[in-house]
Amino acid sequence: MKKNIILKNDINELSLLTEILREIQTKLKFSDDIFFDINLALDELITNIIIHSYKNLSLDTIIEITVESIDDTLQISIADVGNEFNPLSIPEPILTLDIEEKPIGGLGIFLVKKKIDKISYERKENKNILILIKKLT
Amino acid sequence: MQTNNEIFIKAIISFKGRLDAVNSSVYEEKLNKLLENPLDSLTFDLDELDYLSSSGLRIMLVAAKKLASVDKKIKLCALKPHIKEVLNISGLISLFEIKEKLSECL
Repeated sequence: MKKNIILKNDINELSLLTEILREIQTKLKFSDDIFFDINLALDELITNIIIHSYKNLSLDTIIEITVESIDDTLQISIADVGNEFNPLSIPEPILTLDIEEKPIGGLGIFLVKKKIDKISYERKENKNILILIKKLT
Repeated sequence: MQTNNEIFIKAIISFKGRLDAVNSSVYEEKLNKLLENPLDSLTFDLDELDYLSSSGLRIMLVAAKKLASVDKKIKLCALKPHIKEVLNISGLISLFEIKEKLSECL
């Protein structure tokens, strides 16, 4: 199975993405726990792109997502045309800080790293490309 | 005659469906309005919350900080396993009082 998904620069596209992921889940029959992990990871990454990288770009600027099942894994690539940015370079949050010192934000990428088995970044043809691998069993 | 003019406000917000970047701003607005009042207690009823992303964590943390400034903790009740897990991973769960049932929060 291989599916290409094109999202517009609009936060409401996250609902569409969830629907498509549900269809993929139905086809490949993986658990709700795995669905939740994948949904959350993509949600965080797409939200970051739309809110930060694509902030001043037009609505028709697209994000390309490819979802492919390879053996017992799901391989997902996310490509955006924003300025060069590697989200994996963001320092991990310090979870033990007291409530007064805890910064607002910075947890999204951390959640992605926790939910996905393998994640890598490359800059290619003026695009930021993230490759995510999630085991389905 | 002595009158007691002090009003105690116990607030409960029920979150439903998904708390993500699409709809967290709606809750944020309501929450901010509510937080303008001196609250005696604040409870988030999560019984019908199915999904929580970092956008939702953000507004929960902002509210928790606000209450912490008056030495209070928000009560979270009826968390589903996925919701609890996200709060756990992100190291925020200890900022809240976790309750099984809404009746424990009243």
